[in-house]
Amino acid sequence: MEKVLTIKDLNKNYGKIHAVKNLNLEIDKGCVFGILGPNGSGKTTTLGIILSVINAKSGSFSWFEEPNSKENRKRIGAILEQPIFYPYLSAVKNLKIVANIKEVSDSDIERVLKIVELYDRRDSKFKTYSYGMKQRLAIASALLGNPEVLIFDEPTNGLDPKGIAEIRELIIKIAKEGITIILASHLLDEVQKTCTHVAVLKSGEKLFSGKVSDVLNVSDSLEIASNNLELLSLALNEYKNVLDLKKEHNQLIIKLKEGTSAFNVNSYLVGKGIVVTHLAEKKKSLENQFLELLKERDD
Amino acid sequence: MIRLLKIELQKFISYKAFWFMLIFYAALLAIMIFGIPGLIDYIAEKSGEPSKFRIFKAIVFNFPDVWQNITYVASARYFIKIVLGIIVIIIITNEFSYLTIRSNIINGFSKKDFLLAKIELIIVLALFSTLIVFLSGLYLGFLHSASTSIGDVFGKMIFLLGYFIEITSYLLFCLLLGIIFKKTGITFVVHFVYLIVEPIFDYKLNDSITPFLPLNAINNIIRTPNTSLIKIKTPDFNYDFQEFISITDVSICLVYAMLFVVLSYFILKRRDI
Ligand SMILES: Nc1ncnc2c1ncn2[C@@H]1O[C@H](COP(=O)(O)OP(=O)(O)OP(=O)(O)O)[C@@H](O)[C@H]1O
Ligand SMILES: [Mg+2]
Repeated sequence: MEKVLTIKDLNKNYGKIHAVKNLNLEIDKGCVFGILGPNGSGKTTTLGIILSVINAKSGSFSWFEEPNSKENRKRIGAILEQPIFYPYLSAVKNLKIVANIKEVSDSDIERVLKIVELYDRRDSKFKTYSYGMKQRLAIASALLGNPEVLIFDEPTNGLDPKGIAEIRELIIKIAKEGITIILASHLLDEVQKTCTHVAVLKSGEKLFSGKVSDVLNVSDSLEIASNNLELLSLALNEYKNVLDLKKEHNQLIIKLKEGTSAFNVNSYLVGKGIVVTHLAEKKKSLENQFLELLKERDD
Repeated sequence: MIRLLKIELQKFISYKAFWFMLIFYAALLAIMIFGIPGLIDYIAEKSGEPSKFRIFKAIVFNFPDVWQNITYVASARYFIKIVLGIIVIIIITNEFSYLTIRSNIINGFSKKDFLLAKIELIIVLALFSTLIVFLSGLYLGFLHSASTSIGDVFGKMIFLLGYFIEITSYLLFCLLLGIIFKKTGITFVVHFVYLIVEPIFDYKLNDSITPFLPLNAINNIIRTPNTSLIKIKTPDFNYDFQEFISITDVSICLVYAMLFVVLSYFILKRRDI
């Protein structure tokens, strides 16, 4: 698999604060890679280093399996921490500067402004934008010239619910085109909804990295209901793969042994002649799981 | 090269404060240069001996001395060139306060590109200033000179080159201050304090060292005005006015200019932005 980014033994100190600790990371082409961690865990610092705006104390990184250079950065679209533009220039003029630095054509500006729905406001000065609009312009700027890699540091920060949903959809859509995406976030939900891979950071250290489905999507309980809950409850109590059963409102919540799926339960119930009216996998609360993950390392 | 300058100009093409200050500077420079003859006329009227002052006016603006005299006035260290220095300080510190230096780098500038673009802008500003001085000199020279032979008109035009080097070096000094201090206000304060402090050192230190003080170095290419009249010496007035541009002065100035650039580069290189 072609590596888009390789990070080796990266370290960064701010005085006594060890912002990045011996970080190793490999990101494959085409994946949506989430960097997940609480505030102050070193996400922005890491991204700053790989974008050459922060000098690492030690360690190395390489883009596209090549030595670091400004030419590599021209193949990347990035937002780091907050939207940065010349406040007295309009969206179009700001993007022209970006296009010229990246050495891509100005003609792409219209397209990216339309994607983030700022085309109607293209001639307004940046400083007159609302925060959400500024964030959208940053996203437009990152998309300029169809980069091979997109880096988003808290991309939905400051957006309204509609904006958040749109940006997440956009990320998923872009990912389908085969563009590699690196997304830093302290929101599990965001990583879970958009990413294929994730690395969890805490105090500058990588706790874990792997596929999102392996780390965050463990489904371990089922919501189930039928017209006769008594009967359902009796039947499930007899089912050997059920570890735990709780009644909640008009439904039952059951915990299953590993390897047992909703399909197995449903087949079993059909065999017993019970028709369910509701059956849903309930994912273990991500929030809890994330906290658990962080806690494990504390112990 | 042209690409960097083009990007740099795009940053300011719609920046009203930039144009306002640039026009203010140009107007001030022109008013000052063109104001001198008017001022001499005014003094002449008041003095009751106008003819004496008319002669004075004629020799100040006489080709080729006019080049030395107006570049001397235009490059005076506590004078209008400070407006140009302020423009440079604002331009560089803005990049830090808006964080735009960061987005420039992320989008594909190297730190060297960033600095080169600024240096190119400084050269354009210095050329602009030199052009104003050149045009003013031509106009005043033709108006007041008895001789307009090619030799006389172009005679001391090397002073324009000296002027250009002085202004460029001074602006590079301002650029370095801006890169060191990052904040517009602090940089202004440091700049003005230094303008006041260096002359104190100049006064205290040995004369053999003083030409090597940075502000002296970037002001010593054009040290004095000159006219044919000043060459007359009397026992009480025996001062050697500068006749030519000295290679030593130019070299010291250029070494400083290079030092400002190299320091700017290493500071940018080492710093997290
Ligand atoms: N310029 C700086 N000077 C001093 N300390 C810094 C600086 N930048 C970051 N830090 C410290 O480094 C650590 C990591 O910060 P970083 O901004 O990378 O965190 P983050 O994961 O991006 O957090 P957030 O989710 O809040 O954006 C923090 O402890 C922070 O205080
Ligand atoms: Mg951050």
